[in-house]
Amino acid sequence: MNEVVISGVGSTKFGKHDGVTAIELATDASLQAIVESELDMNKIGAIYLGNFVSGFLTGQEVLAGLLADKLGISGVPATKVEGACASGGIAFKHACMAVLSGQCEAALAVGVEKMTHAKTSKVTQALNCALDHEADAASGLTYPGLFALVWQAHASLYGTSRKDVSEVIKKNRSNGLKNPLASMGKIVTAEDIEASPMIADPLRLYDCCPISDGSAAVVVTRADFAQNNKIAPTKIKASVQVSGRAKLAAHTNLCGFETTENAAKQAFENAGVKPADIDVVELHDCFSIAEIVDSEDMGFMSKGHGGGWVSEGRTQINGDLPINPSGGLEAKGHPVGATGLGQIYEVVHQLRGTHPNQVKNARIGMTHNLGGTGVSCTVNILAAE
Amino acid sequence: MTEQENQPASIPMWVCGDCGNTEPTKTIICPICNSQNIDIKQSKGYGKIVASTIIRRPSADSLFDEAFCLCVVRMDEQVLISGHYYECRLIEAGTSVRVLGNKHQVPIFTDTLAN
Repeated sequence: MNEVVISGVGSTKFGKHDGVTAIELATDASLQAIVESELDMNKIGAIYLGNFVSGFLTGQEVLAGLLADKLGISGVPATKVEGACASGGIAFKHACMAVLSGQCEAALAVGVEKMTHAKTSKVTQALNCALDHEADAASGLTYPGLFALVWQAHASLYGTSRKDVSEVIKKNRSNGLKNPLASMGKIVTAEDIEASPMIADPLRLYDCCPISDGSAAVVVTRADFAQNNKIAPTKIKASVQVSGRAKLAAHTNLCGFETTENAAKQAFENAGVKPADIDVVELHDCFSIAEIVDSEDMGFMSKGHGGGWVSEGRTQINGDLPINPSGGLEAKGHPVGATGLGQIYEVVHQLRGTHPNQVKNARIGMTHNLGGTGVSCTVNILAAE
Repeated sequence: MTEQENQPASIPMWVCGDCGNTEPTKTIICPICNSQNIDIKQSKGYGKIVASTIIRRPSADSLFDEAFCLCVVRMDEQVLISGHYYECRLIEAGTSVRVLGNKHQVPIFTDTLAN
């Protein structure tokens, strides 16, 4: 996939945006990305907008068309895509395909979510729309419940401890302190974590990413369109989207997600690189235990060793494999439809050498965006020019 | 409880007649081999706990409004089933359980040794 590049990125802060609509957030991020890409607005030939719960929580749908109108881009396909928490990653994949297919020379991928105005119970209900209702809704499963089960299964098989998982939180919250786009940067101690309220045993409040508002956007163009830009474009070496089985009981075991394994494997093959070649990763730590199982599923270490890597400091910014130097979903926030594009925003800045938590000599970066109970997943491998 | 009452309540499974894959919910095409040769069979109702958690804040659209123990059980037929443990407490992985009955179409499990 070296014929298409990222020529511009934009993002709002993730967190609470009182009195601002989803469309206003998306317009803000999109304009940043378009200005950076040095493109005239009329060169954007397609818009893909990732969003999950706007209809449920705000009553507003048709976001892609509304955004096109706000941006003054008319007469182009403007499409909302949805894949639960992977909606942003899916929007990016579709923008890449639109340019690669020759449908257009430049496409805008944007993700947005507005959630903080709603009560937590309403947000939980909205997020539960990503469950397989026929199989799992009646049992009262929630997403904290799912990841609590994942942790229990992982602990039972590999001994993954509270201490290992707390190290993920301490690292990501600390990373978030320096990221101006993060809402929950903080120095936290093991005692703070263990004193926070229990949500679904053993998951406590600190193990859960915050409900957030926010938007992120990426402009994808043909490589020749961006070759003379002031800011060097970022290569897209692989962009993979896969579907998987949604129902909880369809998983072979509960210690990981087959969709992540499949997407990462395909991405490494398509990009022609190995896990050891990756300099920086932004992955889907919707709950603290998720960072450990995701990193194992992506093939960075063998199963059962993710907790050890975190505890030994190997995933710190200056470690063997920096994971979530942005603060991840835990500290940056998780405006669901925007998250996948927010990860790309972070990795692009790492590859440009302009990240507030810069990983030294970062040349190849990876993003991972997981939807629902593993029903959809996107993985991207990006490289500096 | 009589011996007959002590037998576990059975739960349906959808079994592929071609590859033997077993699904816990209604299936018309086998997700493994794409066969449409699917039979409904009854699980014998015995299995082992894979993981459990206590859901302290059930979803607003759940039919359960109090904290409960959600568990995933690997049935003897090798299919995973999610359900509730009959008491609201964590159950160690590997514990042998049986289906006690159903509530709101959710299997309720208990220890194999419990009455």
